Order: sequence, then structure tokens, then C-alpha cells
Amino acid sequence: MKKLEGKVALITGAARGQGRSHAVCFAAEGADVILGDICQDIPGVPYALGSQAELEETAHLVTQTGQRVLALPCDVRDEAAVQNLVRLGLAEFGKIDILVNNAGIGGPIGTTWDLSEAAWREMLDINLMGVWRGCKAVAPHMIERQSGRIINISSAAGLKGIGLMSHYAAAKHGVIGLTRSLAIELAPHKVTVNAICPGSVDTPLLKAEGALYGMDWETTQRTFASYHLLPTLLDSQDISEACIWLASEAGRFVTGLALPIDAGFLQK
Amino acid sequence: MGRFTGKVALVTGAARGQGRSHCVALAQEGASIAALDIAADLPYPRYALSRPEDLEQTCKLVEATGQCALAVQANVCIAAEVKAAIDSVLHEYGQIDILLNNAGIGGVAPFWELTEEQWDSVLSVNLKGPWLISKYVAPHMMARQYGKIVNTASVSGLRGWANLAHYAAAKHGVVGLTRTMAIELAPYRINVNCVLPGSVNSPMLAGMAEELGVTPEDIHSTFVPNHLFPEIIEAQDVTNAVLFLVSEEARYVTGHALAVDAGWLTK
Repeated sequence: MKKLEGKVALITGAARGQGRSHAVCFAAEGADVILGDICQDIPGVPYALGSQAELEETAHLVTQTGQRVLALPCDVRDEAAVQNLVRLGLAEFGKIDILVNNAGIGGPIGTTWDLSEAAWREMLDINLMGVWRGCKAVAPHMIERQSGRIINISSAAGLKGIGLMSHYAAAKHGVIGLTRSLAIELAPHKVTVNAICPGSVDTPLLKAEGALYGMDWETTQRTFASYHLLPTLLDSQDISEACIWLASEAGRFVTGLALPIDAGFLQK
Repeated sequence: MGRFTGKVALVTGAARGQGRSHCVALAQEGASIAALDIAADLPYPRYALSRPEDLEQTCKLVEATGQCALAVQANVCIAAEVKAAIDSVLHEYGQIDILLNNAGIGGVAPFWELTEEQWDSVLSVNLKGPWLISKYVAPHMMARQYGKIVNTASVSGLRGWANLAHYAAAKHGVVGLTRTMAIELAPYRINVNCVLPGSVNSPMLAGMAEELGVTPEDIHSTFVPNHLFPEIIEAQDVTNAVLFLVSEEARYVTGHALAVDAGWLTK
């Protein structure tokens, strides 16, 4: 028996990296998936974001597992767009069992006193308010069904400061506060809400992050791996496995958690 | 008039180091002091613990501030000794307003090399001790609807510390004990908090250096890179935080784990 047989999951930031991995791994466990990604770049973010072509590739990988998929552009800064993705997903599949708020950006980077207000706002708008918009759009449906699993992707930086990324750390700390509060609000409705705190994961975002620090990919991999107790980068699959656990029957009594999947980064 | 005029403070591990520093600072602000220490060696740790002269010296320093000092020799792990010690303090002063559970020991070895005796020693002194003392002081504070308790945990009460598994386990336990005591004692208007020192220039650290066959300076230079401010912390820095927690300024601070760690937990 597959762990997510008959379930429907909505995943943001699904064009590539961790989001793509969640989409494909969820499908492999029997879930149909509703996928969103911004499918355009943002002027203030100094690297390429997920594209339409990459989102279509994720959708293609899902269909290869035999599961159904609905993939649409969705900018989590736009509440109407998030509501629309939920509405179209419900029209297509009739329900949403699982929400994974994965969309996020990693830069620009800079000292707290050098970061511009625009950069700070953009970061909060995407990495914190984007998560909130996803929760807000799906919660009424989950309350109505008295069932649901929400998984918010925070970061090890949700539990610890990171130099040159105060806006990112503030947003990711915020995701944990949101998660814990929502867990309280939704517990009476049998909906669980958890956060996952990844360490450094081998993704396009990490590569872009390294470039912002002036490092080539090899140096990036070596440097970020050295921050972990287990001196290796994580794979997106490692995060997907944690999501599947939280979304599956095995996770039914787990709520309000901030779960580090960080190769020991927070303990080092 | 000092912040603690008319108050009585019971401090464990008072013969030297942070305990002595707490005693003297409280006395300088007007508190009478009951200075409790084992003032004898234990089979473990391997380094020398305080001697009766050390405890006398603490009392002399307290008295030099013009306050009363009572030296109490007791092992915090033995209920009968703890009970007798607290009875003697209450007999002398009639009250205990402030309790500082500061007594503690350390030792260095990978967890798989620790013996059961070493494990039990550290858990007894560092965790059972604060519980036992609190167990016998609490009813008195509850009856008076007043009390300030500060347990000395450690940075290793919230994070692991290689080669100090017994110590870290005990100090994590102190944080749990503190939070639970805070809940149970809140109805009686008693504040319970803990402090989490980083690496402090102390007899305990010196003792651990001795165990490793290095100088205190060597061990300081090993530990200070853990701090955001790369310096060793002095006992007085921890004392400053403890005095805040037991003062009226902190009347609505309870159940808190306050790090005095030069940024270690943040690094």
C-alpha cells in the first residue's frame, strides 16, 4: 500500500529543487498533485527563479508515475493567485488533503544594515506571507472536511541566525511562529500543521546562494557541507521523505513541530 | 538600601567560583547569606573540590560587607544532610527568600568511556541536588507566598557538548526541572529560573584542565572560540544575571533559561 494513496497534495515552488522532489515523491506514493510556481523572475532577486518550462518538466515527471497533475503559474505574493490555484485544484480533484508551502527565495544577501527595505519586504512577502497565503487559502476547505495536513518549509535558519541573511532568518523564524499558532487553531478540526527545517540541500537555490557569496559550485558544496555534523549536503529527497511522513497516516498525531532535517547543522 | 535588604539567600556550591561571587554580590546589596558547600572531595570528579577554608573565606568576604554569613557544610545529594542544613538555616535566620542552586561538578571523557559511577556522580550533584534542595526549601517559601529560585544550568542545558555527556544530560535536566518548578510554584508567587553560563573562568574549568593535564589557559583557548565574543566569561557576569533574576525587577520573569554565554548558543 502506498503511503499517500488517494490523497491530493498542493505544492508551491514546484518547478524544481525541493518542490519538484516533493511532487514526484508524493506522486510515487499515490497522490495526485496540484503544483504552482512563479514562472518568472523577480527584478530584486539576483538569480533565475523557477520557469514555466521547469514547471512543465515537473508535471511531466509526475504523469510518468501514473498520477494526475494540475500545474499552473502561481506567485505566492499574490493572494488572488494563491486562492485561484486552490479553487482550480478543487475543481479538478474535488479536495486537498495535503498542503506543502515550499515556495521561497534565498537572496539578495547582505549585512542587516546594508539590506534595502525593498529586499527585506520582498523576502518577507514571499518566504513568510507566501506561506500564510497558502494556509489561509486551504484552511477553510480542510476545516470543512475536518481533515488535512499542512507542511510549511522553514529552515535551520528558522531556529538559528545566519550572517548576511537576517531577512531570510527572520522570515523562516516567522514561519515557525505561524506554524505553531496555526497548529493550535486547526487542532480542533483534526488538521495537523508542522514545519520542516532543512539544512543545506543540493538545489538550484543553494547553487544561486553560493554564487551570491562569490563561490563556484564545488566550493559551495564543500563549504555548506562543512556546516553539517554529517559533512555532506542533503538531497531534496531527504526533505520529501520527511514531508511524506508528516502527510501520511504515520504522522496523524504529530502537530506543531519544527522538524530539523539538517544533517546535524543545529547541533554543531 | 540595597535591593536585597532584609532578605536571606541560600547559595549552594558557595565556597568558591560562581557560588562565592553570588554570595558576596547579594551581601553587598543587603542580603544575609547561608553559604552551603560540601567542602570536601568526592570520589569523582578527579579534581579537588573546595575545602572548609574556602567556605570560611566566602563567609569572611560576606561579613566584610557588613552582612551575616552562616557556613553550612552539606552534600546536596543526601536528603538527610540537605534537610538538616535547611533546618539549621531556618533556625538561624527564620526565613529563606532566595535559593541559588549553584553546586555542580564536571568531568571529561567520551560517553562510551564514562563509568556508571561517574555518570551517577554528575547526575546526583548537578540534577538530583537542585531538586532535593528545592524540595525542602519550597514548602517554606510556599507558606510565605514568596521566593526566588535560580538553578545554574549551562549552555549544555540546551545543546550537546562533546566529552561531557553526563554533564549535558544533567544540565538539560535542570532546564526541565526549572520549567516544571516554575509551573508548580507560580500559584505561590515564587519565581523559578535558570541561568546558562558559557565557559566561565572557574575552579570547575580549572579542574577539568587538570584532569586533561593542561593549564586553565589552554582550556580557555580551546573553549573561547565557541563564543561569539571570543573571551572567557567571569563569575561576576553570571552573578549579574542571577541578581537580576532574584530581584523585584524580574518579578514577572519565571520559567526562563537565561544564557550568559558570550553568544555561544547564537553562534
